[in-house]
Amino acid sequence: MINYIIRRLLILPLVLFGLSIMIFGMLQALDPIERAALYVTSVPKNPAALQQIIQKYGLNKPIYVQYWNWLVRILHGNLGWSKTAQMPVLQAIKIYFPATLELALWSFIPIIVIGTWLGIQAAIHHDKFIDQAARVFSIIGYSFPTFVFGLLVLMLFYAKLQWFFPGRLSNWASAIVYSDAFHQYTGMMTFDALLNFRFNIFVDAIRHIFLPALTLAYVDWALILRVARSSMLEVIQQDYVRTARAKGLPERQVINHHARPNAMIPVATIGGLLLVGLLNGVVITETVFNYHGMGLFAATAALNFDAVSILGIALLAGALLVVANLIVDVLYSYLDPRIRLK
Amino acid sequence: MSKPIRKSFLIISMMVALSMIAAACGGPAATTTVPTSPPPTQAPATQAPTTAPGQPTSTTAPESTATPQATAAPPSQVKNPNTFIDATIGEPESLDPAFAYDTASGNILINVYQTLLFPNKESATEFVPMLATSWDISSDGMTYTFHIRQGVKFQDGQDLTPQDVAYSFWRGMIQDRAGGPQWIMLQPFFGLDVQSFEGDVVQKQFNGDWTKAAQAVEQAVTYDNTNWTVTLHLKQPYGPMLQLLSGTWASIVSMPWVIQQGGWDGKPEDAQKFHDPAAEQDELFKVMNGTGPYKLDQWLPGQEIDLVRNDSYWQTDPLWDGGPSGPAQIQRIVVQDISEWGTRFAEFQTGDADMVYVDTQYDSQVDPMVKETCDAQVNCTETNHTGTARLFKGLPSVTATTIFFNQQVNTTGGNNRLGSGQIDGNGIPADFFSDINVRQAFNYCFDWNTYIQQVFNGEAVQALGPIIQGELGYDPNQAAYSFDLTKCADAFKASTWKSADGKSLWDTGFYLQYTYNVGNDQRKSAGDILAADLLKVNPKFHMEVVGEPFALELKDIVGSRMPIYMLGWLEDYHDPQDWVVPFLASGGTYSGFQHFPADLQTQMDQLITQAVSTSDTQARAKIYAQLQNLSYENALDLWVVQPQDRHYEQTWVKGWYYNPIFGNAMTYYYSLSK
Repeated sequence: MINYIIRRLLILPLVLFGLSIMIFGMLQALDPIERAALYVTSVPKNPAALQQIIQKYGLNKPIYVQYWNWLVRILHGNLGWSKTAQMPVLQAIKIYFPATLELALWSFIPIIVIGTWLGIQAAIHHDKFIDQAARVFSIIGYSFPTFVFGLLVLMLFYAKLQWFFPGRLSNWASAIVYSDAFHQYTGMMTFDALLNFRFNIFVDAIRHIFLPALTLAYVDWALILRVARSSMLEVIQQDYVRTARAKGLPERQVINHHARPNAMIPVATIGGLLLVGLLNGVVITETVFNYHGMGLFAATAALNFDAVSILGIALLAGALLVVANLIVDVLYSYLDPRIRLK
Repeated sequence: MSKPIRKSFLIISMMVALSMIAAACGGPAATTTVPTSPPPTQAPATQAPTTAPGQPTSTTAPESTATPQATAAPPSQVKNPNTFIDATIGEPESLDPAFAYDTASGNILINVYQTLLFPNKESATEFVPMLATSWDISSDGMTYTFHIRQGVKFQDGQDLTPQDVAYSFWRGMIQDRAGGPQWIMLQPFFGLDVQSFEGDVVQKQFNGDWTKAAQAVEQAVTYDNTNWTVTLHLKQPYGPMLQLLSGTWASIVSMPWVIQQGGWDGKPEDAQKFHDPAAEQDELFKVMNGTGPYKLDQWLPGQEIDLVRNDSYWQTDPLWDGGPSGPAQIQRIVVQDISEWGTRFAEFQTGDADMVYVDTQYDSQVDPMVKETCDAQVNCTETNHTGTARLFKGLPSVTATTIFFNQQVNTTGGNNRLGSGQIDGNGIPADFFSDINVRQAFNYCFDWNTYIQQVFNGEAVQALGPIIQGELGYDPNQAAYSFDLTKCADAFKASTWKSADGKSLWDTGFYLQYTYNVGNDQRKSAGDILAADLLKVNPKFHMEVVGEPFALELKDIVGSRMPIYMLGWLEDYHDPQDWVVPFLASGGTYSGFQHFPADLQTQMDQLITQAVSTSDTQARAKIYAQLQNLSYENALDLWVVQPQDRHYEQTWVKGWYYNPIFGNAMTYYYSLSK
């Protein structure tokens, strides 16, 4: 298996190379003036200023020169300056990715745990009340536009009840977190707070991350629930499950030992993709809750035609996808002993 | 799945649930609540939208989501008494005053850095001494001598000297980054046609000799550390000179400190290295050291900028009657950049935000919260006893929007904005708008009343020309176009355009595209209203309303490829010069791409030069009025509206006032208290 993992990881540079070539190719469809628009907030007073900007950033150089310069820079560990984030791309990723990762973890775990559990309960109690209720619950979640659900919970839990808040931290907590007295180990506020033994900041961070995590979870529960349910329904009708029942095993053991692990394979596939989606950032949720992560960063960069930032974000996304797929493959072999990775 | 895994899953999920519940029940957050709330009778406040000052207000409208209405728990007590939270939109481009040219930066700069003089409270035309104590202007209007205030300290503890003042101006002019504000400072010293330091000063005036050009800069602004004066030597008299010097680009920095940060040492031979840096390579990009009442605490890009009170602030006497003095009243200012309206609104509802930026289309959501409504003179009336917010309305803004006509559209490589490119009912020729009848017809076909009522809720005035209300040369009784479909039809009938087979424009009809920047619904509505009325006048008149992203639009503007399009302008400095140049001068930001008739262009250029080169206010007013009238007679553009601003704040906020120069984009936090 180690060999397999190494081989798969060796593909990574190739994937990233292909990705960067594709993006550079697409950028050529943009006129240098369109790319210079990133550096002006409006029509410049002096039209010559646009030409000056084009020269300054080398926007009119041949594509291979622009690509080569970028490649040389990136091999020196410099992803360039993000105009969108007003900091180096690498630094922006170092700040925004942990934020997204934190949100992904706080939503992914409930999505998988609760989604799977509900799906399996629905399948076991096929066409019973639990099944119907779970399906209605999931359909409602699935059909809620994220921004509507997000704004609803924001209005209820923040504007009305003031239990939870938008943003990442309250002002008092932010003042501590960004001071020298606080060490940011991971960039994830909840974990850093615990590592610094600042439980009040942990509670504050949780009160900020709860609503976006809930919003993401509610929308995605439906997906996992339906996949888990249909897969479980299929599995419990298999011969070997009937055999297990026939030989007198308790129902609990039949379900937990024999049926469920096999039903988990599609869940692992979808879960892997879902996690990649979450890690790439969730634009609408991040926007509604003013939660600054990769999604908001990527969307703003794209709107600004900020090529440097987009390239950095795309490389990260590519790497994540390769790694996540690898993890899913490894998970398959764990869930189903018949699958062997070679 | 095996049992142990199932157990661990259960444990994790229980932990997640428990921690969330614990968090939810954790009592109020650490917001300090103080049981006092002196609801003031007089008080304003401000917010900051983001548009580049002095530049077209072309990028806009960041949000688009509907907001479910909910009744907020009314904030009855002052929240965070020592902190002021401004929930707004926009990210500063740079914290270097010489570099920055947008209102989000300006909002921070005016509170940390200072200028020689400052607007006299609400006045946009009168100034009070700030870092200068007084000034003398020579009789020929070409020499300005400023007496510099003694005893002023920068935030790092160093004393302000006349050399710092002169250095600040030199540094700005030499830096002159592409697309930046320094053209404003260069023109009085190097000539009215100067747009950039490198191109127009170094190359044209000094044959590429950077050292000589930098020496000329140092000769244009001289200092005397013994007599505490700084003298400006102008190339020609310059009417709006004092206005320019109150802008953030003329902020005073500390020379030793800038050098310490890696900046220019003041030697002419080193100047070239410090010209036109990228934002991030500029030594003052993210550090600040001014003489102002607030200091930079931290900048979390994309999230917020925090300012803290400068406890050793120099000012002991108010700059105007009843104005603030001594250290600022509020300890900490948090300027949040929240692009999503629903989130900003929720912060305002809970009282977390003391001030909120509201786009016009969301006014109706905030209005039920309003307790008292005030005008620009802070005359307030209580409108809703249970409300918690204060609204200022009818504030005269210094922005205007215009529909531009291009009299010679660039058709290189084809241009589908003109349809077929000829008078055949499916297009227009490239010089369609060179016919004054057509331009007048479009003017008569625009329904200002409907536009102002529907889009601005009545809070805007019709623009009469490039010069806006409140400026020299503006006459409210000046002749203007009004909505009149009969006159519109008559003007179209009078057009000299003919189809290839000799039929009139009226009988043939036309097709063209009107362009606006995507996301700006106000500009889309203007196009829709105009298009509908054109169709009403003649079913053969088709104008398609097309949205373009800003980057594409920019390319089309500078490529002169659009026949008719709508843009806005936010003034750089409060003077008609900053309106007539971009709109009427040859090479102006907008007029440079519109191809006005040559003789008219020459006439307007001469008038503009005359107007700026005199300090005689009466004479200037007359010339500007003449220019305003020329723009009407020739129907050069369709002057649409000058909108009025609104401002929302919590009732506990005290001390806000409206100055059109700051608009609702910049707040002088020093005047505020809670």
